[in-house]
Amino acid sequence: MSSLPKRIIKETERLVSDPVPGISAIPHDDNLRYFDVAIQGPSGSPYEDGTFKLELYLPDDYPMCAPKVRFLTKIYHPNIDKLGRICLDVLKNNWSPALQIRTILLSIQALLGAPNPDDPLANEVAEEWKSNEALAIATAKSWTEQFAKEGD
Amino acid sequence: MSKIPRNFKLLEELERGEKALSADSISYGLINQDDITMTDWNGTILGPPHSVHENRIYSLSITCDASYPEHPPIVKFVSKISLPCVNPEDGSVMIERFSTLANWKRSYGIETVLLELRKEMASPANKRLAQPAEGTTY
Repeated sequence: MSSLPKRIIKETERLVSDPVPGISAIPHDDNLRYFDVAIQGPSGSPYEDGTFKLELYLPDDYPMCAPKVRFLTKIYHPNIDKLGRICLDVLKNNWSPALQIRTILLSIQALLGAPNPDDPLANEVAEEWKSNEALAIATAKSWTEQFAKEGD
Repeated sequence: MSKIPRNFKLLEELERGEKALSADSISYGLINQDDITMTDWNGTILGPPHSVHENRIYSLSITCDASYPEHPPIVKFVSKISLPCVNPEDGSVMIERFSTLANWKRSYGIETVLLELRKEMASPANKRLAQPAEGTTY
């Protein structure tokens, strides 16, 4: 087993000792680069009161490249596709080694509060967001109710 | 090297398949675009030239269950084919007769399976085997 870089150990310790409100990230016992993540939907958004599960993986060349992150909970959002893949600049071209797991998760939480239908990943969702925003928000709320509020 | 988790490995494989980064002679993708578990895949192999398979297109189903990639996927031909490693009853690729599955490594993927099957089809021992009618399925 290769040892875990100090940077990852420090980030993990801080995620546990000083967690971000509304966000949890817990590494798997058998793979400390692989995290179970839960993000609370921001208040005032259609995702409010929902708990969204994600998975996050730190590739070998982290922090020279961004973490890999994906939603496991179904979500109706123009920048998140049916497989939970996320379109977010800081996960792609705007990644910088100065960013961290915590800043990435905060950016994802912020993306839930500020959908960007002009840079879509889920085209049908983005179309609806632009043509009938009220209906899109209602759908996002009902998906939150249906998929992001299961017991545990 | 750290171990890439199943889902992120499959996302990478999907991206290669979607962007057609792999060889021209094969293709693969998810059967259901919203299958968040990424379990059921379809694949195609373009029959290798200078063989009985030339110009034929073979469809396959590939199942990557929760044990993938620690364990190999379950691979079945949908199109009928005569090959020593394929069960003639149902088209399933028999693990013990196909070394890519028998000697499976975590670094292999769906692409490896399809390319190695295509090599089997082109091998001197197999390339002239009489084949079922084109377009028939199991």
